[in-house]
Amino acid sequence: MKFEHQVTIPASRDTINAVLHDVPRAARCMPGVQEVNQEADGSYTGSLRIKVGPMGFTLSGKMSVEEKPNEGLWRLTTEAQDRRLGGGIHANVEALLTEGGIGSTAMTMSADIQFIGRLGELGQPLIKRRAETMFKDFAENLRKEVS
Amino acid sequence: MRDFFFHAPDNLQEALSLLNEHGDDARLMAGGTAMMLMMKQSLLEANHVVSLHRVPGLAYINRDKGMLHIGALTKHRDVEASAEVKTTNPLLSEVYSRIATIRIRNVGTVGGGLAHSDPAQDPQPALLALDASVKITSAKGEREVALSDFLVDYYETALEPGEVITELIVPNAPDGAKGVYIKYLPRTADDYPTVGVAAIGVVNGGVCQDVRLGLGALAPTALRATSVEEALKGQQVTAQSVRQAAETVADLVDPLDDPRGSAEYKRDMSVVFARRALEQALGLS
Amino acid sequence: MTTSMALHKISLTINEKQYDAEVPARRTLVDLLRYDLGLTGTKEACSVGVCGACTVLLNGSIVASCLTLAVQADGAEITTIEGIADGDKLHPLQESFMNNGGFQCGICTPGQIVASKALLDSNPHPTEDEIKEWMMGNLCRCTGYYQIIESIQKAAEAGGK
Repeated sequence: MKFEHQVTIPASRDTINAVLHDVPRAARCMPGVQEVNQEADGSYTGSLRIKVGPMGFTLSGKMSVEEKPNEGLWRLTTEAQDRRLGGGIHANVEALLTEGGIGSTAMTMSADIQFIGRLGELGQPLIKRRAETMFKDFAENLRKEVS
Repeated sequence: MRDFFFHAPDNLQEALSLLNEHGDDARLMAGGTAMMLMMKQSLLEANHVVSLHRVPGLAYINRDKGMLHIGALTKHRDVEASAEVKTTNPLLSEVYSRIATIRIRNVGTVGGGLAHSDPAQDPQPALLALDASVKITSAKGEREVALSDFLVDYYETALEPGEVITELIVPNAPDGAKGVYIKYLPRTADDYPTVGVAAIGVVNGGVCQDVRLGLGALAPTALRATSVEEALKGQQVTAQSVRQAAETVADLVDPLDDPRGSAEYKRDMSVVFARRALEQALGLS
Repeated sequence: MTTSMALHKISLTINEKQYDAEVPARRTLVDLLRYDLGLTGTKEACSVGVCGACTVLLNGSIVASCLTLAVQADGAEITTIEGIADGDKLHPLQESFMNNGGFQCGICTPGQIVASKALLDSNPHPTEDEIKEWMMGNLCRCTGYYQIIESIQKAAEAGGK
């Protein structure tokens, strides 16, 4: 499942990079993120809660971030499971930052999410819809966080 | 299935107080068929199930002037089989008869079905076309909500914590109306539809006096196609005008890709079945 | 949730006999019938309420016992396939299914019989369309359905109650 969303942020690329570099701060822009902890090896663990009506999914797992600030690229890779349901996701989220005018940056967020196991069978159409909304909210929250 | 606490209160007050006591950890059960399916898949997290099956006084079908008042615990089957409903509002009878199989209709309730709020359920398009509303009760009192406001999103309604649907209120179709429900099912007849369309039409001297169009399985909730209705109301009924109006349905819908069809297919079919339903309701076929 | 849940004491009448049981909330009616009470005539095939194999009569109406909790059936009157015959005397539907090829492997048959009994009780002379409408959801992998419809029609003709 792939999607893309674009926002314009009234801030310089450097300002945004600084926020993205603070992974817990960036991760908290995603609605439903419950906790983000840094591990000794520089990677992160965290959990994300998705609710669709009466159904709730809690995905917990690992995240790692690759930054190429000179190219305006920020990439997060995560693997997370829903222990109750059995199943999970494997996701790559990429932010591409392009400086616009002075103090304005266009951010293109793209995501490639794979559902694994039961989560895929059961919820895919629904979760996909919810994921798209969450994603847009993430980009919007990031914009607010930076502005 | 995980184990849970099962409560079977004898009255509504007790049910509401159990809901308030357990908050997010409680879930109301009416007939329970949809809920059992979710529970068998470990999709429901609540540890407390508050069953309404012993609560009296919520299963009835009453006619009051131009409306039907249907208690929330009325079984789908009882709506289907009711002579009162068949004469007062035959479209309502029809849509409740199309739900799943007799086994499910014998157990599933009007209120439980609405609280479940799956976008593909059979009654909702017709209920929207009929301007239905629901009565909601809580420890704080009662409120009435138009169904169009009640259906919020996939499996999400306007029910707040501690609230329960107690009645469905359905106005009659306008005088002289013809109502139709088309349930488009490429798969088996007991399934949810790929596209569900309810249409009501009143034609006088070849002119459309009134037309209502409800669309199901095409968006996060059932929809009312008011723009299509506005385009046809007051106009001469022609095959051409109906076709043109139906074509605009494609812009109103927002379907999901799922095993019943791709989003693209459903969008195409929404136009086809809106047109057919309108043709039938407006006397063109 | 780690606490063990309570057991529920339930009491139900099945085929005119009283049964008492103590079950967890999550026990389905079909599991109660088959495992707790040894009434294995009712079958569970799909577990999701679409195949009809688990059909029983509950307070006079047919239900999917795989989607019913045992605790929901507390105080109820239930008829299973074991209660359809009158002692040694088979129900006209059972006779008809036997005489008209209404079953092959037999796994769907208890559900077919209970469902068609409910049909004839409510509508003693159903049309073919009415039979098909009612019996929708009683799936059969063997017969191709024609003999099932015929068995029901012949039973109705013979005054099938």
